[in-house]
Amino acid sequence: MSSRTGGLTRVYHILYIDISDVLRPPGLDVLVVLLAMLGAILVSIQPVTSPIIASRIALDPTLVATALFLAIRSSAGLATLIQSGILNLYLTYPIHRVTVAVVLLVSRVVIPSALILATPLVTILILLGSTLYRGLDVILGMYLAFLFQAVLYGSIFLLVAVRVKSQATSGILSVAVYFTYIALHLILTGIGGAIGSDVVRRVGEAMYLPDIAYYAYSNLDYEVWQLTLVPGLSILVILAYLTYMSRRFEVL
Amino acid sequence: MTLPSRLLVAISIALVISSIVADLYGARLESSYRNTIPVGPGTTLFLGVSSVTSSGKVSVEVEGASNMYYMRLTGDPYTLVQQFRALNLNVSASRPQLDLRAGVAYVVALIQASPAIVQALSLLGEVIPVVQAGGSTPVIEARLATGDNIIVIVTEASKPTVSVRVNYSVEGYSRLAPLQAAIVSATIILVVASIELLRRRGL
Repeated sequence: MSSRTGGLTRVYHILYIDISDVLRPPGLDVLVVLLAMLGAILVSIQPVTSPIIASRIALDPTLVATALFLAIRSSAGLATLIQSGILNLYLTYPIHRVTVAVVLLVSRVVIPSALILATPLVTILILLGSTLYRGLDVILGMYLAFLFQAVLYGSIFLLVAVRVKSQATSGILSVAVYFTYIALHLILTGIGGAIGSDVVRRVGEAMYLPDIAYYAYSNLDYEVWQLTLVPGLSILVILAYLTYMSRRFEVL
Repeated sequence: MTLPSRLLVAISIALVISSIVADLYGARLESSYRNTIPVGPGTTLFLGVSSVTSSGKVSVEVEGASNMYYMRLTGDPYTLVQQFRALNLNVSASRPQLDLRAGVAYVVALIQASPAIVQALSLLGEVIPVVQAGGSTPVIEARLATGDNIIVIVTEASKPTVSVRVNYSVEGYSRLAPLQAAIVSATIILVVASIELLRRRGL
């Protein structure tokens, strides 16, 4: 029992130290002020009365900034931990490697994404509360869709970081992977529409979960499997990252 | 400062600045559109009013029409105009005019007269003929939810030019005034400062 409590305490310590590193001021503070302001301005320069549209307008630019934050702070930051030997120190703790990998995933991807995406939403809910309060469930659903998309990007970035182990390379590669993914989503959607291939178009659309969530809430045409592509891809990438960390990863 | 305190301060700063910007350049609750279009024989006038991001009440007045229809539709009216082009109908469409601050868009197009227009539209929804009583100018009124459109089709004009007047008023929208936003922000900062003070004193 005491060993289990000690293990949990060690996990908590690593989580706390790593979150403090990832979310250290002033980077996060400046980013959330700008994103919350941008989201609120975009939503209030037009009389948005639909919670679906309000959440999309606020979260679309926020997701781009979140992806870049994850590429720099999470991916390049994790490579710095590897290069500086701090990750080596984490791995000397009597905790399973997979647990350390899960803690890094939570502290470097899930928590930052959840916080950055929530900030503009809270701001627009305060600003337009009386207009949007009827659609809190829809706003929560859209938020989760954006969060899943951010977790997919972040988990890919972590896999890149533990594979290349170089701060600059992992940062650059993560940004490149992000833009390649977005380009692929646009190309498949466009080509699918142009050649009349429903499958190609739907795969392209499904690569961006917020679009499918938007279609679902707006009663537009979508298929249920499209809602599962991004979560499915996220699970696959996370499994690949955990497997790599537990079996193949070697500290420098 | 703790992470929640930092985020709350960020939200309160963003709230004040965005409410000031919204007050200066923000949403308007009224929008109007006027246009006089020369409609020759063998031409159909197409007018679409689309509530892009808002919802509200629209009234459309058409002067110079002897036969016209209207219908409600969801989707993009500009795409509909492009679909008429796909039916090999000669379409001269003006670009859609977006009133961003009212969240509404207007599309006017001249389409080669064809019974296919009303037939094609009737596949998408109920096409309602507008009855004109005693030569008075008919007024079409409707409430539009976000993403809804009202389409007006003039298939026969009584004058060489047709005048359209559209008034749109936003409904169901309100936001904090800058003073209210400043009060909310000041309250948040006061709460954060109190919590931080208590935390540092170890209470």
